[in-house]
Amino acid sequence: MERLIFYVLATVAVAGALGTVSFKNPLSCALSLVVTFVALSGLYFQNDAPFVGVLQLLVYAGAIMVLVIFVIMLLNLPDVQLEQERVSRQGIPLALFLLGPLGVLVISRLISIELGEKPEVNASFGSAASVGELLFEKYLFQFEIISVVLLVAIVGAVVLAKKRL
Amino acid sequence: MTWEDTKSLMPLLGPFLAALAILVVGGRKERGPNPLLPLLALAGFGWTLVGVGCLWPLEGAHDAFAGGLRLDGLGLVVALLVSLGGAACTLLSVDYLKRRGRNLPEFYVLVLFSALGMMVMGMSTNWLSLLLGLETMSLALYVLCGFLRDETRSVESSIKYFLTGSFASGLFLFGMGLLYGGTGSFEFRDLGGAMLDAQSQPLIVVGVGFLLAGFLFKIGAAPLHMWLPDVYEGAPTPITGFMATGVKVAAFAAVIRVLSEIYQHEHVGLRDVLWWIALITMIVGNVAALAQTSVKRMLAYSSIAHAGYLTIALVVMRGAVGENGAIDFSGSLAARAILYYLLAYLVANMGAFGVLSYLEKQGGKGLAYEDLAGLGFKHRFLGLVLSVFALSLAGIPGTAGFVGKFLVFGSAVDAGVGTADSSFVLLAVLGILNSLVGLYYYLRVLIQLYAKPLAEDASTRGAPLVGMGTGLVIVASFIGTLWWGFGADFLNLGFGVEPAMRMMQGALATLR
Repeated sequence: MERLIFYVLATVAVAGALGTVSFKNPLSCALSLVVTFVALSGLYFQNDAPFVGVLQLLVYAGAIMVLVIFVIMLLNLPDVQLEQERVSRQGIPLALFLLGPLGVLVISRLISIELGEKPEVNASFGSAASVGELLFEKYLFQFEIISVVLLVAIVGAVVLAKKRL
Repeated sequence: MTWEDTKSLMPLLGPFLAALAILVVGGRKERGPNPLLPLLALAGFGWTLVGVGCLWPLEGAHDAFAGGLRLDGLGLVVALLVSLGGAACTLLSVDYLKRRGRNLPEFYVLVLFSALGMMVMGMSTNWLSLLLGLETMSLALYVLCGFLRDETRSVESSIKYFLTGSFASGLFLFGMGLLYGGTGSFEFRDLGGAMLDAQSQPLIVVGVGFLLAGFLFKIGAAPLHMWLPDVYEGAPTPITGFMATGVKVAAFAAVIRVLSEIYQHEHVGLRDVLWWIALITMIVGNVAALAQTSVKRMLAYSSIAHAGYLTIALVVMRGAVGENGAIDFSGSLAARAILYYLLAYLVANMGAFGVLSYLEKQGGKGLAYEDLAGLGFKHRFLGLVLSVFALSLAGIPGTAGFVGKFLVFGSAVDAGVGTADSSFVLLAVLGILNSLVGLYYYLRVLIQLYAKPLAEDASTRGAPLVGMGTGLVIVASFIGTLWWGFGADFLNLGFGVEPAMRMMQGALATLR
């Protein structure tokens, strides 16, 4: 039963990801990304990390998707423009040639993993407390540097986009 | 957070606080060119220099923030080189931006943040910190490339860098994910042991391949160099200088760290891959640089060639077997050669781009070879320094570039002599042949400067006086290029080839 849930969620996640890159309408792409996010969140719940799952729903499927959809709607791209830019199919054989061996390698490795019972985890696994501890103890420096990255992005966006500085 | 943790933040705090101060001071309503802002930026870099000076020499390395940041010699040298480059870039930008009419406080903020990212890259021993440093650096540089947003070429440069650079970051991230899958850890040092594990080996090999692609992209090594000429040509000239040097410093320091783990087990065959990459990069960079008509674009291609020479040293990096059976790379001649080469490249390149940023006219014009014709007689000093920078980049004895090249090729010969495998010596020979090709296009600059008559419209070229910041950078680079080239420290200032070599040795002593 558990494995069935996993396969269903995983398939939905992959389908959503495929939709994200293959739909023509940017809004459909964004919405299929939501599908992926929700499916991933389900996977987190299944793996005893309910807090991460909730964060995934709130932050990614909620806040970030709203931003993405906002931008798409604000830009208000005409459909015609996207219709013209067809992906050239000449690149596909080359891509398969280059990435095929890699895919075989990774997939063969993945298949060889023994599917056993899910290991027992202690009660605090994936809880808010343990996530917080990781963020503010082990990965404190990285956590702070991310805020610098965001600040750079904000300053950069203003510099490039604002009409009069 | 212990005192040791705080100490490891010292080099980083300067640029960070200076950037915040500029954002606050520069954000007032009346936004004119404010002479205080570049001074604040310089103070930030000065803080780092002082901090490095206070912390040097280190008694031992310290892994701060549970391994998030490593305080050791290599990190300090990276911070030193990057802040020198950043300070030079700031000084050049003052005059440059004024002439381009876009003297905005955000420019200095972004230069400071990109330098911060480079320092983090140099100080990180785990993938997460490395990626975040890389992203801080890259995001700031994407914007800086397009800072002259009214000029098509600047915007083109920014867009090209952003799209290809994000792709490279994606490759990097994917490799990181695979390595995490293979080792269960973000630490570099868990890489070596996990490579012996047959189960995780495929993941690690593929992961290292992706990471390598990301690194090679950032240093502009062939075949991932396509973006580089256009980006370097379109970016504001001081930024081009900073990109060519700072990114190389940070990326090569990180690669030294990663390779010193991967080379623990020789069977991976990474050396063979890097061997070919070094060769192709040198040839592509040099041959393409021959055909250029713009000096700035020539320097962009030559930066590819320099990445190739540096990759030679990565190929031949060898360590001694330590007590516990692990290979210790702290005495590696090749790693030391890389650091010295980066120092030499930094001074010569910042100087050359300094002269170019002075000569450049509106719209990025005025940088063709013909525009230099006869300049050596009109601006005697400018001609002299540009010649010295070109000679240093070419590797003529008496300049810092020669010492760097000598060390790199010497380390390759040293690693190859006495072994049955002649590939290292062959690579050194090919590298020397390549630098002979490079001599041709560097000497073309000298020919234009001294053997061609002055162009007719020369009277209108450039501003009559070199600005103070530009002048300072040019003079300092000139002195550095000669000083780190002439071996003897005859004034005993702790400044010549020997002291610099000792410093690089000290930097590597705490590598692992």
